[in-house]
Amino acid sequence: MAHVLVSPLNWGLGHATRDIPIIQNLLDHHHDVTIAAAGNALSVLEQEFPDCRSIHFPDYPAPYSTSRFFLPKFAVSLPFMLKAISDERKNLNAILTKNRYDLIISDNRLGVYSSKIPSVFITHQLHYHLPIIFWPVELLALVMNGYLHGKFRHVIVPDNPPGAQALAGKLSRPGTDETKKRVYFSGILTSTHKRDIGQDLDFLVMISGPEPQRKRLEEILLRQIHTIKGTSVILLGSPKNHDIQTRSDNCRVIPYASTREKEYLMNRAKFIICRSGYTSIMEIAELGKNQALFIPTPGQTEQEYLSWYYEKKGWFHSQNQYRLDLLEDIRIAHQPHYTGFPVVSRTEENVKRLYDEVFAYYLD
Amino acid sequence: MDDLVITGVLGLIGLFIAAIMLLLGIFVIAGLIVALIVKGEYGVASVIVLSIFITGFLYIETGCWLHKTDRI
Repeated sequence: MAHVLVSPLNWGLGHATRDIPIIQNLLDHHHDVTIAAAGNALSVLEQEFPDCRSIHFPDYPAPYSTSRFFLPKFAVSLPFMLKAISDERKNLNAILTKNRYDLIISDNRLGVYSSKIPSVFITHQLHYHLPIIFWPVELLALVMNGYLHGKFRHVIVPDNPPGAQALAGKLSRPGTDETKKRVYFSGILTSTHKRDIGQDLDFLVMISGPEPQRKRLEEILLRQIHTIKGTSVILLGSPKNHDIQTRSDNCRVIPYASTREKEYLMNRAKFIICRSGYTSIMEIAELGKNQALFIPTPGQTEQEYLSWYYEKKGWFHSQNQYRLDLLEDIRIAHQPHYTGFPVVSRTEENVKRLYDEVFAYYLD
Repeated sequence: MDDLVITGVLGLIGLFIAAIMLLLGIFVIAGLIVALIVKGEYGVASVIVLSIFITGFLYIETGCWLHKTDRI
């Protein structure tokens, strides 16, 4: 029996939730797992795995912008992030001296690795997408990523290998030899499961992501929701608000749903409207949904790229939130040339393969 | 100090120096063009402006080429 330290980044819940099937698989193999995270990521994993040891392990604040200008704010935040990574390294050393670990799994935490303990890094972003004018920065970021990946034994990418079935497009394409040597494409990893239940909900709208853009999208969608015909549920992703509203016979607004409630609603939905964040993408791929409308968070280049990529591939329709005409965009999204994602291997299969081909070497 | 942090600090210093040099370059060239126009040397000013356009065009084209060839 080995001991594994799992440490997801707390920028949204996506990193923590995609680690759930990995942690479950490690526990199924009778290994000890210690969860080291902060904020909501830690809360979610503590709820999911109450028997695992957990450590409060602060990371760095997400540089989400309150305006559309994500890049300048990100540049300004870099020194603070570097300081946080320096603290993260010190805290990690303290954690490692208190216990013996056989493997470290870092989900997008750059400073969570050790030269003495095998360390793996999980990321879907080997490559950043920036506006064309910043191409030297994009090139530099590739080199920087190669350097960072060199600190880990493996870089696990929750996507299919580059090619026709890659859901993250160029984001999951390795750019340097350092990365290429270490990369392992696990296929999608999500805690959402496909359930054998009927699709009786016409539309599920999932509003998520950082404020104030989440609130702006909420306002835009609530103004337009009456224009669509059929039953709909709107998940506001707003945990502070608890009042369920019924806007009409066909439309319910739920301020916040648990992971399981969300999974249930996603399974029931015929058509999903959501941000083009990679966590939602993996959930939609896992459930095999082929009708959706993506609305990227303004200024988040990753989501903007994925929206553009899915349009280009003819998989899904996307629309900017400020140009959204819900009725018209849903009509476009229903057109037959949008095929949905290609059929990809499911999480259950992927996580077993990941264990056999990567983790088992260090743990068994 | 940890080598990751040292590399990060050096990288940041390099990035900010590059940004400052770029801004300085823009101000110096803009000042030069204005000075030439004030002096009435329109020919030289036009050549500089044309060079800026060509450089900008080549810069963007390089980015497009890198994208098209999947290098970035």
